[in-house]
Order: sequence, then C-alpha cells, then structure tokens
Amino acid sequence: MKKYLFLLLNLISLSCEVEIMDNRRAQFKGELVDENNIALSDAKVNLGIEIPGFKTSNFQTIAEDITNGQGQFDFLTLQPENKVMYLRISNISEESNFSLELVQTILNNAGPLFDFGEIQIRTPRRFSVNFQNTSGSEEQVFFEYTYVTFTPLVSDLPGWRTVRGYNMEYEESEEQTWLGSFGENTEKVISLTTLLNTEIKLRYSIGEPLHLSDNIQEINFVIDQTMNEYVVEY
Amino acid sequence: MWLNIKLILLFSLLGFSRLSAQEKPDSISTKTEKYNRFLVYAGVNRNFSTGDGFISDAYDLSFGGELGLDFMITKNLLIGFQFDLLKATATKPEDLAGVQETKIISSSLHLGYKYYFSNLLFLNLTGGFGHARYSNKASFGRKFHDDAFFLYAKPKLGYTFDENWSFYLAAAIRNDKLRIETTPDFEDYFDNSTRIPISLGIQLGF
Repeated sequence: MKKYLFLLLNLISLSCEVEIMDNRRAQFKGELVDENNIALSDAKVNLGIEIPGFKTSNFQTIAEDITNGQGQFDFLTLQPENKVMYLRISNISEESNFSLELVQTILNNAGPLFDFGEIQIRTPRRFSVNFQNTSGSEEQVFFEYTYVTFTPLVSDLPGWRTVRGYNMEYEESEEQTWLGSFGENTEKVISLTTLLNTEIKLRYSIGEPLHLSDNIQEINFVIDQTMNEYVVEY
Repeated sequence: MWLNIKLILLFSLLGFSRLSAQEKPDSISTKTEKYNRFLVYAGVNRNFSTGDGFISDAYDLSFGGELGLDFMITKNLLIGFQFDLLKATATKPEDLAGVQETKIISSSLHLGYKYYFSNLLFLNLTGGFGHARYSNKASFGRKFHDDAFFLYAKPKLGYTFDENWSFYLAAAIRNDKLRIETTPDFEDYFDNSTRIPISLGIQLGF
C-alpha cells in the first residue's frame, strides 16, 4: 500500500513540474517610461508562471530584472512549454508607486524574442482629505467625491492582457463617484489613488445627508503632485 | 535498453579477448601491430574550455569519462566509436537563463591512423564527429536538453605494457555546434563551444 502511495505521490509531483522547451533560450526586453516619457528606473520586472497544486496554485518566478537608468529591462530565460506567463512590473517607492500584471499564454511557436518596446506606465498620485472639526460638537459628515481611478498601464501591448494592477482596486481608468459618510468621533479621512492632472470633485454636508441638506459645500482639487494632502475644517 | 545491450557486447568482447589471450600467448610486438582486431578503451578526462562562448564563460568543467571501441582495419588504419560523459556546473546561472548543472553525453564515430614508434609506443591520430546531448537542470521545471553536433581531432599516445594492455594519454580538441534557438543578441554566446579534453586511460586489444 505504501509503495502505491509513494508511486502516486511521485506521479503527482512529476505532473506538477513545468516542462521546459528543449534547445531554446528566450529573451524578454522592453523599456518603461511614465506618462511624460521619462524613464522609470529601479522598477522590478518579474516573469513567472502559475503551477497548479492540490488546492491552490503557486506562482513560480522564472526570471526577473530591475530596470536600469534608461528604464530598460533585458533578461534571458528558459521558455516553459505552452504555459500561461505572467509579467509583473512594479515599483513601490515614494516617487513612483505602481504595479501591474500582464498575462499571455506563450505557445511553443512564440519567441524566442519577446520585445515589448516602450511600455508607458502611469505613475499614480495619492490624494487625501482630512475633515477636521473646529466647531467643538461632533457631527456626522456626509460626502460624495468623483475622481479618475488609477490604472498603471497606458500602452496597449499586443498579445498581452493586463490582468490587473495587482493590489490595486480597479482594472480600468474611469471616473468613479463614491458616496459615503463618517460617523461621530471617528477619524474622517478620504484616501485614494488617482492620476496626475486630473481633478477630484468633493461635495459634503455636515449633520444631514446630501440629498436632504441645503448646505452642501463643493471643492475641486487639482492633482499636481505626488502626494496631495488637504484639510477641510468644519 | 541500448546502453544495456552495449554493455553486454562490451563484456562479451572482453571475455572473448581473455580466452584468446590464454589460447595463443604471443609476443607484444606481434600483438600491437596486428590488425583485424578490436581495441576497447576507457579513460578519465579533464576538460579545458576555450573561446568566449557560454561553456567557457559560465561553466566549471569537472572530470569526465570516455569509453570507446576501435577496430584496426589495417596495421595503421582504425575506425571506431566513443561515448563521453562530462558534468559541468554553472558558475553564472544568470547568464545561462537559470541552468544550474549540465551533463554532456556524447556519442561519436571516428577514423584514425596509428603510427608505431616502436613495438611498445604508438600514436593514434583520430578525427571524428558525433552528437552531444546537453542535459540541463534548471532552478525550476523538469530537466530539458540542448543538442549539438560536434567535430573533434584527437592525438593519443599509448604505451603497451602487456600483450593486450596499453595505457594512453590523449589531448583532443573538440568543437560543438549547438542547436539552441535564441535571439540575435545571444546567438554568438550559445552558438558553439570549444574544449580540450586531456585524457588518461587504458586500452585492451583482442
């Protein structure tokens, strides 16, 4: 019985292993720039595949690189046979914070050169508005804001599909409107990620919902810096 | 399966040779210069790579082994085949796309000329061609391989110390033409490799 179990486990582990193409070395290269065509250096470019397991799948990195001063990445890799490949690009820093994931099923007749050319990436801008009570009596804050959601990729990469900006909330850049309220005695901060040169429209009222209030305040914020922090006193 | 058949044949030939030796004790001189006979040899080799290709740049070549069989067509001409095994450890896996270890298994055919300095000392000059399989182990996935066609030239200096036994020292030069499909940026790097195996071994005639 143990023998069969051992054999079965071996077979399963073998079936989970990735087949690599014989006589093949693939090259992945490209250049990252921001929306102003400025090179994005020190960004991490990671190529991986998903390996199915018993219950969950594992992400296996097969090659990675860091973009140089010109924003270029260039690496050599083995080519898995007919596999779904994920190209993850990220740069988590104060200056440019983005992450995106591209996916494509790479068939054996594709490659060995995968040249992405210029990949234009939007670097996000952070926005926050802090409602500070100066009246002394605690009241609810009702608000509505409209902003352009963040998506990292600008360029259209033929054959590659953007899965998501991973760890990001939205898949596409589009205008979103959010309605909400803050209770009494809570921290009242709106934080979001948006794009450079866009506007955030904020409407709020104190004590009453917007549709009932006849005292609605409106503010337009222009996003022009990496961090856009504002304080609204009421 | 093929390996088993080849081993059985080899041991059969060795056995036959021992029987022949017992039946017909002969002088060293007549034995060494005799033709229509087989010579089986085995040796170890140390490999040195040359050039700027991937083998010399990113591998540490360890000791290898060789096993061959020659047939003396005439007193001076021989034909034969040889198997080689060499294990190479990657010193720069990042330059090899993640390959960590490679076993190079080669099989080849050769033609040679045997020159006798004396009854005991001889020189074989052989040239041959063959197929090599580079069996690679990478940081992920199953083993995979690369194929190569190779040419080589091998002078072999031998000394006969018994009716049938000799030992030899050989230095070959071998060029492997790889079949690796890659981009123009890396074609030159993976295109071919040249190495010099220095071998020491023994040879048995029967």
